[in-house]
Amino acid sequence: VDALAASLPGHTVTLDASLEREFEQRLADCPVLAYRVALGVLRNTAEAEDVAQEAMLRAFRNFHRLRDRDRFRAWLVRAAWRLALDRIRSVGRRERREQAFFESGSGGAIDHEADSREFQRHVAAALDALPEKLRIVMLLAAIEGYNTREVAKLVGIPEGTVKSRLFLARKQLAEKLEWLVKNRKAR
Amino acid sequence: MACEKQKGSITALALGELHAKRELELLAHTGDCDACREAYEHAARVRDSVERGVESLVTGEPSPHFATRLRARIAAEPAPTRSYWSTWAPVAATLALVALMAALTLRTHRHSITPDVATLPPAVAPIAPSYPTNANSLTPMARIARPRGGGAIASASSQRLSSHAPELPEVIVPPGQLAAALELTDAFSDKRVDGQQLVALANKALEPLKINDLEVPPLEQLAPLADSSEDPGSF
Repeated sequence: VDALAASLPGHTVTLDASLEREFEQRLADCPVLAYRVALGVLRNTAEAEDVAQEAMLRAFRNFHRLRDRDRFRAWLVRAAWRLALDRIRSVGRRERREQAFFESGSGGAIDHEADSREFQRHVAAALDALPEKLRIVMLLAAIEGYNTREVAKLVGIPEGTVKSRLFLARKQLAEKLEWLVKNRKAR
Repeated sequence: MACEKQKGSITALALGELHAKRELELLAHTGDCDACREAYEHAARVRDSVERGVESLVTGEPSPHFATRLRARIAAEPAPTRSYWSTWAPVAATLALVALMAALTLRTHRHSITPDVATLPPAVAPIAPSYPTNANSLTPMARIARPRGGGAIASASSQRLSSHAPELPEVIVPPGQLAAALELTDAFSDKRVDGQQLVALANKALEPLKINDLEVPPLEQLAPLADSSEDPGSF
């Protein structure tokens, strides 16, 4: 067998046209997902973009194994998640990033209020304190357009498990942030 | 503060985790009980704030240059390739398997039909199953399995023995393997695969394995048992 393989050096089959077309489709609808997953971990738009680029590039390199749409998206989410976690290992960098993110007000709908930014900071901290398996389902379920079934496909676990993890995550976040909501209401 | 009886269920109600029946009961209760209603409203406020807070962390789009940058990086990459070997490996494996099955079938056939069988009178020769003469009435698999010419297996075998003419055995293979074998045949005709080398490899695979003599080391004296009070450790 080895001899046969050795007798065919340099013979390769290049990425064919149909494969390119399929990758173009993924390129159109998947980068936002990778970007948002990375943003949920890094909370820095520039770094989230870098991670999403890297994840997509790796997906391109492995695309012959990832032609199925669901499989591609699940792989991409895992890649973006891992790459983002690798980036955030350095605690100092993480603090600086979060500082910039919350001060720039790039966080979304409630960023116009100072106390909202403060609240966001607490939400982020509470989220970071969650176990990884709860955190990933919480983040994915918060991305627009992803219901529990979609999240189950992306994470590769049964939908019932997603629901129970979501419940646990929400409960833990609610317990940690309850006092803050009470304070905000009192003000 | 919710009343003691419902305290544990208020958060679950706000998070939508109760069964429909229990949910209706508790909602009805909050209509009557001010403390529980207030607790429920607070839990719902916390839930909404947390949801919005998490959503704000994953809201946003990559910059408009994202796709351009990504395309440029992809263009700079060497095109992903599949090695020629990985394309043909399954076909080669199938061919080797078919060759192995053919050899085994041939060998079994030769062992089962000895020269004594050939000299037996026709009355004690094994009775072969008969096949319908109309080929169209057979299923595709049956057509593949059916011996050519519609003759009995025993007579075909005895013909083989008497004439000593080599004939390929009939082998039933799953449709996928058959397609793979046909694909490989095409590859041979197009000279994409070196047939001689492939046959040599298949023959090599058929060579009997060398089995070394088993070496039994002399028995050693058993070590004394360890102290039973020692901690066995955990997994």
